[in-house]
Amino acid sequence: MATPPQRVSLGSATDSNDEVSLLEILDHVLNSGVVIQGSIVISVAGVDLLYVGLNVVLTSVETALKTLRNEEAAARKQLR
Amino acid sequence: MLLLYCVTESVADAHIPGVHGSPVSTIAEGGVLCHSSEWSERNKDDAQQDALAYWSVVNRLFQQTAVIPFRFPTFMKDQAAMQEFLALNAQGFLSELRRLRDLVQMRITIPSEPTSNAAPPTSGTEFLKQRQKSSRVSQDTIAALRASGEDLVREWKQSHRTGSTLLFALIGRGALEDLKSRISQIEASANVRVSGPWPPSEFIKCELELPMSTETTL
Repeated sequence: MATPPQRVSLGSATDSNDEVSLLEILDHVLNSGVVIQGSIVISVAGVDLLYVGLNVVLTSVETALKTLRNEEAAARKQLR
Repeated sequence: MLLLYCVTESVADAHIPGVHGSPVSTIAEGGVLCHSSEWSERNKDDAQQDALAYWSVVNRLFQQTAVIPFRFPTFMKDQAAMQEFLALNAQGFLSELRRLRDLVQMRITIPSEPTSNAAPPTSGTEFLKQRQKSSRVSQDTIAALRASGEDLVREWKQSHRTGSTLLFALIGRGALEDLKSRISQIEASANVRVSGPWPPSEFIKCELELPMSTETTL
């Protein structure tokens, strides 16, 4: 059985051990793993807003949602 | 909407809390299990915490069995869409899960820039010399690391990040301690960091098929 990832520091240890470990985990989950290629329709409240490559959405939850909100606001502005 | 964690061949742990406490459920298809939890737009408080919670689930499953993780965040519209996706790709997942069943990934970070202890360069020439020296040390370290695990490591992969080179070693679970011990003996690796075992994400070879169009509502 595998054990949880642990960090083995060789040579001089730094003062930012925890930070390094956290960064490694984030780097691992955000930059590796299976990526589903494809396209999706994003809709808010039943109205289709965007037709984008799925990779765009995979980049980041926050970024994707922020982009979505900005697009929605821009679309509303144009309608006025 | 579903947040996807990973695919496994089998799993014993049935009650795992997922991102934002949503229970992780599994869908079985063609001999593989896909693990996911419900996601809604209100679950958007902290992307970093979400990523860590996602990792916690994948890591817990990884401790029990071989996993093929999805890159965070990966979504599917609903269970029907996931079932359809799994039906198309189960054979590919199964083949990779079996190939990587007893293998894990070690991550070795090698700095590729001058250490912070080095005196700041006083000229352009000196700057270039420092960079050249640092690059040579980095390359020598990588060569030494590869040589040290030659008979243990099944496959190596290398990639670059700002200021460092990442070396990934695909290795059997049983050979981990041996590899760590050998790496620790490399004198030139004063600033090398080793972490793991991780799921062998860098070595997964999956050509996925996706249903013609997947509609996702946020």
